[in-house]
Amino acid sequence: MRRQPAHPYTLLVGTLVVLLAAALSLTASPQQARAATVTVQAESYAAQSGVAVEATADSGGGQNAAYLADGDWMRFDNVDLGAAGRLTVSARVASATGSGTVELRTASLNGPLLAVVQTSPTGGWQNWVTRTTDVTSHPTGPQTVFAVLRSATPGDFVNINWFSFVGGGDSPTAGWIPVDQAQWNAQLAQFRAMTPAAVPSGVVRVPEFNATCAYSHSKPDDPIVLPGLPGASHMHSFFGNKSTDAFSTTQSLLANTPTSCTPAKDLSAYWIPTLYEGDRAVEAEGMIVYYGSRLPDPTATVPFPQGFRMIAGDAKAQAPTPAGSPGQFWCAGEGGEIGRSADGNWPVCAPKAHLTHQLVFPDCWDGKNLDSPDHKSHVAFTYDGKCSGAYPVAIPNLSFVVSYPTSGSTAGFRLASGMASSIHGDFFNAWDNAALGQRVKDCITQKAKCNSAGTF
Amino acid sequence: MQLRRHVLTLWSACAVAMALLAVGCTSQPAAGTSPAAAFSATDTAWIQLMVPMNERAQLLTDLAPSREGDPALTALAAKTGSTLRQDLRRLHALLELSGVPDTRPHEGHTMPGMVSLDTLKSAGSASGGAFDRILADALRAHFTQTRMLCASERTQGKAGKAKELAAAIARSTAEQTSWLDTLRPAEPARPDGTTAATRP
Repeated sequence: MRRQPAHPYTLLVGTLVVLLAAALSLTASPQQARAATVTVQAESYAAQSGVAVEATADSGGGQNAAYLADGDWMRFDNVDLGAAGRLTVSARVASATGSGTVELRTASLNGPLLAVVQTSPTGGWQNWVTRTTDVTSHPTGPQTVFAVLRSATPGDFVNINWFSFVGGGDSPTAGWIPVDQAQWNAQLAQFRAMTPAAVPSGVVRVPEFNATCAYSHSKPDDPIVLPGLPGASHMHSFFGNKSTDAFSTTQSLLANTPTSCTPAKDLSAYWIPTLYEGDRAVEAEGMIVYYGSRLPDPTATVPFPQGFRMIAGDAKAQAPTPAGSPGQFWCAGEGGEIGRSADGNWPVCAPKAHLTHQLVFPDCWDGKNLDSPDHKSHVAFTYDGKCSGAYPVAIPNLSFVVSYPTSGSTAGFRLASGMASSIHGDFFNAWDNAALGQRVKDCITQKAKCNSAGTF
Repeated sequence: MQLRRHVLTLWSACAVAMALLAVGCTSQPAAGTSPAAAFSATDTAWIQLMVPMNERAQLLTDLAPSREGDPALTALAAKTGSTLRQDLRRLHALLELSGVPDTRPHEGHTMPGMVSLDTLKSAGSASGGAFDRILADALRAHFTQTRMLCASERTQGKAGKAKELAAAIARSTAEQTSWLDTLRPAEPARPDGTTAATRP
């Protein structure tokens, strides 16, 4: 190296400056282009229905929206959702009782779904928590945003202090399991290439097929909520794949062919909390898993991606369920319900009628994720017969119909998860793709009732 | 000599700057990885179950000073309580590091081994020997489940920090269990495997 003895320090300083500047520029993070970062106070609505406002005890002071029940709504104008990309939507909520969701929609009351935030009791009307969900696509820039309250609980179920919309970051946030797009596209291509079977006359024209399952086994395991942690869960009664336990994965389910369901090509795992009469477990006679559609037009329905999972119902809900409560246990068979348990939460059935339950799962999928942190935020229920916005993909509408060999008594029952209101169900898809796809094509998109063999 | 020192100074200064640059490069997180990516679903499930378990157990140990029980058990409860608090701080810090939203998936209902709301209610109105029995049974169930969960996390978990905390909690829980056993030996299990403290 040529030395310049006359200017060693100038050279040194110059070199250092260049090198340090290079190091700094490597560590500087790129600027985000106009990502959203806006907090909207609930009481700042431009229009509303059924909403009251009260002083809030939450940090920051001010007011919160209160007395919110199913069907109430608020409109917020000029909410800048920023540039395209992942958007984290949060709601600051408090609830003494009741569960439900806050649907955020853009443009109109029935506009495309922007995001759905789940709510459940927090311990009091001024016990505040932040509930968050992520969406990967959304309308950009300033939008009119509607917040619509949905609940099966009659009466008020939540207070809301504020909403926040924060954009930026394209890598999936923790707890989300993105679908492998290449794999999903291949599954979709196979589905689209299938020819629907001709529907003979005399077939009932409703979109439906089913998996008919006997009870399989019980374990205090949950491969969706508590993966890798055997014995961590309240007791679950499993139907379908006979290998389901804390260590189950999509691959392990697909690799294990014994199942308690017909058809044999459905290797999915289905489970519910175990039912007890006193300390005695009462296992179901069986579960029929219905795959249907609540959309007036089910022609765009696609199969569940392999490895898809979701939960319906709320294990955390511990509230009374008197006669007539929605989503509750009932009596199927001759004589039906003849009374209630002493605590009022369970039916008592006539001698020839059996305790029964139907649990309905959401109908629309975000098209991007196999799972979400709460196992619900990647799907949404339809209330307008369409799948739109952040949940644009119509999936089969799943229901578990479970029947127990008991007529009940005034002593009532309990679930491993607590009160009757805590009934919930888990679905971990491991259908053979072709078998599932053919049924969705033949029975759902064509609105023709099929049996568990997938034929008319 | 003067020149050589300058040369050395220049070279070593360049070397330092190059080293700084190199350090700057290697400490730059590679694209796509972050501390959050280190946490698996098992890690976060473990954290989100340990939190409510510890919170409930702490509610029970906090009752001990006012229930006129055996001073030796009260002392154990105090030590357990302060360990629970410390572990809760560490668990919350880990959850934040993982980036997973705190959905509190087990709020409002009792998981296996968890001190139940009924137990808290009975404990709150019991005193003396009756309180001691409730405390001992409930803590034993909590310790047993905690040790099992920590063992699972250590073998099935992914994030080093979570597994370290699981090991630490397992160790301290084992110590507290031994201490409890010397004060109040465990009841033998019934033929069907249940004890007074367990319920399906």
